[in-house]
Amino acid sequence: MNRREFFSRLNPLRQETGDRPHSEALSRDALFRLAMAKGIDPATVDPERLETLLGLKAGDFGITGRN
Amino acid sequence: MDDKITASRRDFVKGAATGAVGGLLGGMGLYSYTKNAYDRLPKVAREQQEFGAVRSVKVTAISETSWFNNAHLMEDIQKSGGLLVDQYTIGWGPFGNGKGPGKSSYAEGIAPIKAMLPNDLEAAWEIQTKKALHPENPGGFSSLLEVEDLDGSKHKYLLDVGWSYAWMDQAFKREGIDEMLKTGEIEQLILTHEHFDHFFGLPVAMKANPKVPTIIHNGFYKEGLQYIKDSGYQGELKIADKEMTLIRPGMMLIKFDVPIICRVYGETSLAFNVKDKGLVLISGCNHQGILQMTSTAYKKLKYDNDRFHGLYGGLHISPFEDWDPKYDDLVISLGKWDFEKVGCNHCTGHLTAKKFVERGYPVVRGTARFRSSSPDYLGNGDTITF
Repeated sequence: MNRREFFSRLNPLRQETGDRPHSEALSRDALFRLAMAKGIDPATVDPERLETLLGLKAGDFGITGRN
Repeated sequence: MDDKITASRRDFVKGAATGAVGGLLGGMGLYSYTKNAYDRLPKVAREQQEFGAVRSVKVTAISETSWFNNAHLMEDIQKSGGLLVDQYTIGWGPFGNGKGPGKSSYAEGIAPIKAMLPNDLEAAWEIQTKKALHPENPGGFSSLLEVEDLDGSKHKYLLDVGWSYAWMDQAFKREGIDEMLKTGEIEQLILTHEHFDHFFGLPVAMKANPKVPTIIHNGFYKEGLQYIKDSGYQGELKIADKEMTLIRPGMMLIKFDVPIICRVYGETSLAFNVKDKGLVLISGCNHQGILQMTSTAYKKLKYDNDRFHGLYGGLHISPFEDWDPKYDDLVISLGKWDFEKVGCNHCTGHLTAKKFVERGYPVVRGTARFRSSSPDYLGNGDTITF
């Protein structure tokens, strides 16, 4: 295990490679609704960029990588 | 006078450093546009479920013109409260109540027309032309799918039912859909999502065959479920409640759970494994996002040649024909999947289709008939075969 992998395991918002856990799915719903409230149609945005576009830190809603 | 220019060691180092940094930045920029740039993305675990194969899929765009004036549609949404507003309250037909934007409801809208559904649609829509916002704006999205099995047998599916009763009645007659429904040739109606332009035209299909087997996303709201009943539906309603539902060998329904504008939840799309060619993805509107659809199919399904062959439907990139640099990200990222045939229309946007062509994507052009506004992409009455 290299250093990156070691620290990745300590990060609760790390990228998932399998099915999203339930809580993460809820986070995506919240993110999409926040975008719509700000007048942004989330379907028209690369998911990796949506949080940045909304002024959030990457990972705030658990969307840290390509689905 | 000696004109010889001499450079100090400091100037030399400064120049070399500037050149190196500039070259590095330029190189990084160029590299980001190459296919190799994607190789460093994290590798995903692929489950690759086997789901059989079909010989071919033919799609007819019965109607891709969901509305005819973008400004009117956006004005109605904005005046009603914005993108989160409930579609049944906006005041669009057939649920207009004449009180203005954002002041309607399912109950008030359906009351004067309920008894007319599904057999007296002309009178029902006539009432709505007096009560609804911009009553001439609705059109609708609907496609006919003809699937050829490996044994040569053919099977027809109707994907969505459009919006305006008057427009969809005309479109169904033009393509013979009403007769196909009446005779039972259409084996199933697939309602991709609850949006006005894909779903509100339901009584037009019910008039032809109120028992056609129908499948919907399990995120339909109570108003949508009631509308299915009020439209006169008498058949077997199947609710897709799993991520993957096999429709027939080689044809998979994929369910995406996402909140969608105008208070809709979830959309289903279709994946086909076309023998010896690869994967074909077909969507109504792609509110899950085109990249979500491609990556899900890549992770979850096994298909011939491990290749993405074709794409059809609304891809939801520039649905209102504006352009924003963030849309470029989607256009560029889609190139990673290297589709061999792209049949887009509807909420993809004409601007997006032009961007696809600029990037060399194999977009199939249309014929701009029956009020489709340009041949940039497949229009009303056009077909594509994968």
